Amino acid sequence: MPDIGSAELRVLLPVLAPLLGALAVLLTDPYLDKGRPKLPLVYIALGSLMAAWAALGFLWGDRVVAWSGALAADRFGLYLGFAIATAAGLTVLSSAGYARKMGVDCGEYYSLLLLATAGMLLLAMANDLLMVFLGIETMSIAVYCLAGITRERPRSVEAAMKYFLLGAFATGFLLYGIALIYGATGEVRLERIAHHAANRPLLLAGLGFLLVGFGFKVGAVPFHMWAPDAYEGAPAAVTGFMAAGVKAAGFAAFLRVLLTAFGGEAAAAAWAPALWMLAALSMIVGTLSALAQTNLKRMLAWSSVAHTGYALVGVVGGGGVAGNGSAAVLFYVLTYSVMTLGPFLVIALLSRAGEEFEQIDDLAGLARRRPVAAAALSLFLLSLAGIPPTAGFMGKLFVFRAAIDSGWLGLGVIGILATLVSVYYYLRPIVLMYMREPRAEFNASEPTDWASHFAIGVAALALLLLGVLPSDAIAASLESVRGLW
Amino acid sequence: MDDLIFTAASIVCFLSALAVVTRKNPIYSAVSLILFFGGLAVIFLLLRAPFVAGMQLIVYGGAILVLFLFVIMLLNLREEELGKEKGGRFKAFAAVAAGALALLVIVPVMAAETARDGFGPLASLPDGFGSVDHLGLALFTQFALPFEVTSVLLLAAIVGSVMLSKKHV
Amino acid sequence: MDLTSVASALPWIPLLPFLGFLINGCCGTRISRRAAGWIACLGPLGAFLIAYLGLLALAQEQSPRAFLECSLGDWISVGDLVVRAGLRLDRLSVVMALVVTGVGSLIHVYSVGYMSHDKGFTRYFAYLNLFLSMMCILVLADNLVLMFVGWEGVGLCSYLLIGFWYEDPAKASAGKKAFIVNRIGDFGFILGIFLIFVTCGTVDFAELFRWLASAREGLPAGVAFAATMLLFLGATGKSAQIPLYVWLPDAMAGPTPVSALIHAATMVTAGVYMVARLSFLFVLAPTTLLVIAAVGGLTALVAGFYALTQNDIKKVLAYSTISQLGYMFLGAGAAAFGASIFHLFTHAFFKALLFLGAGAVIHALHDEQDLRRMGGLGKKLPLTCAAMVVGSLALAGIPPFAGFFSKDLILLSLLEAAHRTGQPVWYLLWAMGLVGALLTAFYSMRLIAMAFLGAPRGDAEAHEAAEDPPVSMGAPLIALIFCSALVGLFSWPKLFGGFERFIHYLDWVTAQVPAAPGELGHGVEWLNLCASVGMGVAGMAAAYFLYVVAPARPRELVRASPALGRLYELSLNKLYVDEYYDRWIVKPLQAAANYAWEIFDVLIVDGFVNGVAAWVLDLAASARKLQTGVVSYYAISLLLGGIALLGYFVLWV
Repeated sequence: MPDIGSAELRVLLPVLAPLLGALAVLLTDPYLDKGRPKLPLVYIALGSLMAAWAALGFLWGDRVVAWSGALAADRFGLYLGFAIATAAGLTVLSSAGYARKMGVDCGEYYSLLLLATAGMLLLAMANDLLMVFLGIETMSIAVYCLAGITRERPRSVEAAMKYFLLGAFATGFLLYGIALIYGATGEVRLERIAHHAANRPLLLAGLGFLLVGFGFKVGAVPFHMWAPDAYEGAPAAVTGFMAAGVKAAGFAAFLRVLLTAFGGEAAAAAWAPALWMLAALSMIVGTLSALAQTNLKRMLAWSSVAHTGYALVGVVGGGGVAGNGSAAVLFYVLTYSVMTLGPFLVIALLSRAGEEFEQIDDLAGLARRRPVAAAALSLFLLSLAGIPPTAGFMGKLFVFRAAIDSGWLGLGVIGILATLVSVYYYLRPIVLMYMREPRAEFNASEPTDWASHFAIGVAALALLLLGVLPSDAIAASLESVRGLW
Repeated sequence: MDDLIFTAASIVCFLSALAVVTRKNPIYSAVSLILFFGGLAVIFLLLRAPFVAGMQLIVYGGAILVLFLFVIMLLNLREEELGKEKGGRFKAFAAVAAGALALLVIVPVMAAETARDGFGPLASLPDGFGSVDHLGLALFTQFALPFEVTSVLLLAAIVGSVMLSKKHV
Repeated sequence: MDLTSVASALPWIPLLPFLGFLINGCCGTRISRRAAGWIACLGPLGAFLIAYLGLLALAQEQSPRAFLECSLGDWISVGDLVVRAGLRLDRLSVVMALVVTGVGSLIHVYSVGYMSHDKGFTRYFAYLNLFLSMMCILVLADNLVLMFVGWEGVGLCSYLLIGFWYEDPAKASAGKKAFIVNRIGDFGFILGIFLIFVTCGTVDFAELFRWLASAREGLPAGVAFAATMLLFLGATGKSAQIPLYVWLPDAMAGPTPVSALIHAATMVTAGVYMVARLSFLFVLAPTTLLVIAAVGGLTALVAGFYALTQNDIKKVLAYSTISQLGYMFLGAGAAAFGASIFHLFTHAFFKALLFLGAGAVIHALHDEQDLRRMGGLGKKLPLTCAAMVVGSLALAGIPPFAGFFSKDLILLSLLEAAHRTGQPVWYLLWAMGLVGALLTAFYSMRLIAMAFLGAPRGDAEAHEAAEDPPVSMGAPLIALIFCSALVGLFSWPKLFGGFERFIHYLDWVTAQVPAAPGELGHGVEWLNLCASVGMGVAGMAAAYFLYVVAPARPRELVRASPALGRLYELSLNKLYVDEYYDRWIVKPLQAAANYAWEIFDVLIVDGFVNGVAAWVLDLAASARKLQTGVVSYYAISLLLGGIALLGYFVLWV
């Protein structure tokens, strides 16, 4: 019987905050007037996420393992936990206006958002395979539902359906992997799995299945197929949350499993080539496919596939043992989650009642009608393209450098080439915004959505800060990786 | 004797699972699924896991399948609404892919079988492993958190399904 | 002059224009045009003054290698990776900084008049100030990464300013072309930086220098070659050399002062500056130096050839710029980095003068750029005409104008290189340089003749109304006339008892190759000088004859000799290089992108059907009906990927 003492509760705090928030939202919702903006729900959600932030900050320090090793509060999990909580907070801020425009301003929306956040935080701190599975499922089920929440839009429902079906399929792979690993070792705790020799076929087969499941969650080619449809169909604020949070949480667990359970040299030598292939494919396919898109959300979906590839470059370059590569991945995913959330916040801001602002051509002349939104979107896109002095540049620099330093020159070169090609499609919206006459009408009369503007401002500021003064964040990522053992 | 029962149950499982995916009429598929769960329960029993076997029958064979059947009957699909049968080559592809996947699981399992320490520490299983009290103890001690988190997962699923089935937001 | 106080003022060189950018960019709509113009001009002027103080401070130092340094702290400091950022002013960067801020200030003043009626007035000055700020960062950076930041920054500004009149799609797409072509070069630059960092573990210029000097086995020759070639690829992009020169002529779509500042005087010379800055690295790779010289020589020749027949006044100057940049690389390739920078220095003045003069002509004729519709403007625009004549004389290398001295030095350095290495190829490059000089003189004179001499051919009314520019535009012209005429004297040739002061000033900061035993005789120097002046005079005389004395002759000549006509066609159409690029690079790339999209998105994602599995067409039909049917294809991809992955783990490992 574990002692349900302070350590157990302390470790759970970051998860409990959004969880209790979700319950509070559900309980408050019936008492609110129908037809009026449900601001109290926004306040509750924001409050609980800030509490989660505070809890993450409170736990930042030495590694604490609790619940018979199921959950670990260490810097590694908390690092991306901050990214997750921030992404959720910005999403809530932007949803205050957006959810009303799309007609989903209801308790379920915010509670699902918070439940998904709780799942993500669990996933980031999960220290055994069972918790990994439960975290992934809690997060995913909430996100599937969120993707389909605008039920009058057929594409939204379709997106949810596809995401759900394929997600269930991928979960099957994941579970099978866990089962095989358990069969081979009799363990679900990550650090104990590491004690077993890695060269056994059963364990390796389990690892293979796990990679499929994780590959699906982070959107690596060839397990990426859901991404374009799901990103396009889901309402913009949800897509942003999906792109930032799901990926951050997915990478946190992915990396932790690889480093802790399969971090030995023999195991790393086995998975590195496989991930090499996934990384290369993701970068190439993602970049080339993004070139031809006309829908902004779809383009960003392909770009997120490519960015998964970049992050995987760092995973390969990490070489298993705590190298700079793993820290580079953490930093990369942190910056990526901010810079991919940004464009969706802008899309959410520009969308009108029941109608998404998503065609790239609609951006024409935006700079003159909505200068702030255009400037912010440009900054996000430049960062995604990896142009200094934005965070995207720093992230790519560290990831590629880690890969090249540990001898994966080819992967680094593919990454740099893909980055260069990607500039073209990131630049096109900017050209349209600043150098074309407006085509679509912009609704200038509607009241300014300050909460959304604030969220966009925070994201933009964070990107610039991480780009110009990245030292602290990188130092923290290095500590995080070192703190795993 | 154990081997005989295992073989029989496995064959039942395999055939009924095949029927689930090949039958065109969803009712047949669902009924085949019940059969499959039954076979699976027998295998669990053989593995000294009577509680799991019971759950398999009660929860899956009972509750979930009944729900499936309800939904299928409520929809009441007619023949032409079921869509056209998938092409033969598609089926061939599916068979090949499934076969390949099965092979890729069988190979390491066989390898583990022949190797000395291929599987985890099987020999050291305590008495009463898989029994209800043992399982209950594990759920509330070592696996307390996963057990509780499962309820969060279910909560998310409930909220989601309520939201999706509500008429108005 | 207190060294440390000047050093601590260094950040203000980029900061002052940047402040101008912030003010004009953020509250441009709220302040008057007058104020915006003042703000925009004061930033560069202040930066110039600080740079000048730096020059004085450096002059007080005993050691010629002295430099001012201002650390901006550790930019990135994590584990073994430490990137320090700092500004560094030594003899090389002070020359560049003075050129950039000096010519930049003049062009800012000129722009106030030139852009006075444009609705994007403040936006223009915001971009221009940002450009100047970035250029100063590029010049003053003490490490490769910071230099790259400036390098990308000026590229961005160049892109913004080329597409300044974005309403015109052709102009917007010219901006894009410049950006994309430059990315190819930047790719090389980045890889070069990576290679240097991986090999030497530092990107700081001073540390790199020390590393190269102290490393026991030195830099492997292969790495030196690869790194320098990659860096040079970056230089060919930014400095418009073969094969990446195609963006510069199109870049003329921007406002003319922009062409003068960015695409003639400063940004395009960044490649030359980078080679000179890293000269200690480049001298380790003699093969690269030869390649640089060959590319430079070829570019000088080919671009000069194009310029012969262009009818757009700015296009003539654009090709002339490419050609002159070729000369700079010729000098750099011959390891005469001082001469190369000296040509950069003089060229900045006379090419800015030519562009600003051309701008005055265009301004006077209300946006007429076609030389065929000019003529006889000499009497109407005396100041402009004087500016263009002085600029052309300097360009053509007629003594005692600035271009003569620098071009002569570059040609001489080629002869020295031939003498030093004993490779006859340098004589060929020298000959190419001479022929280039002939072409240069010819098109310079042709431009003067077509625009200012003869009878007016354009719109009579416009011709009548044309007048010299206002003071704000005239004053910079006058200043540049004096500079173009006189700056060559900084390096009075040894032949005439001079000291070549400019070159020796730089000798200490650029790498030196061991001199050959024995000097080139005076005879050789005289030969070189006479040949270069002779080419200049001959070219100008020929053009004068063909376009002023007997204006009908060119056409007759072309008609009389088909070969000449063919040559004319080739020159006019720029050897069809743009068409070749379009056909062999752009189109295939586009096709490949489309193809890739079809493969990945349509074939595998949306279909999977058309190619690999025509046999599941029947399912596709139901897929379209049911919408979700497509999911099976997604699932198939997942399944196949899973099988491949498992197969790898089970059967391979």
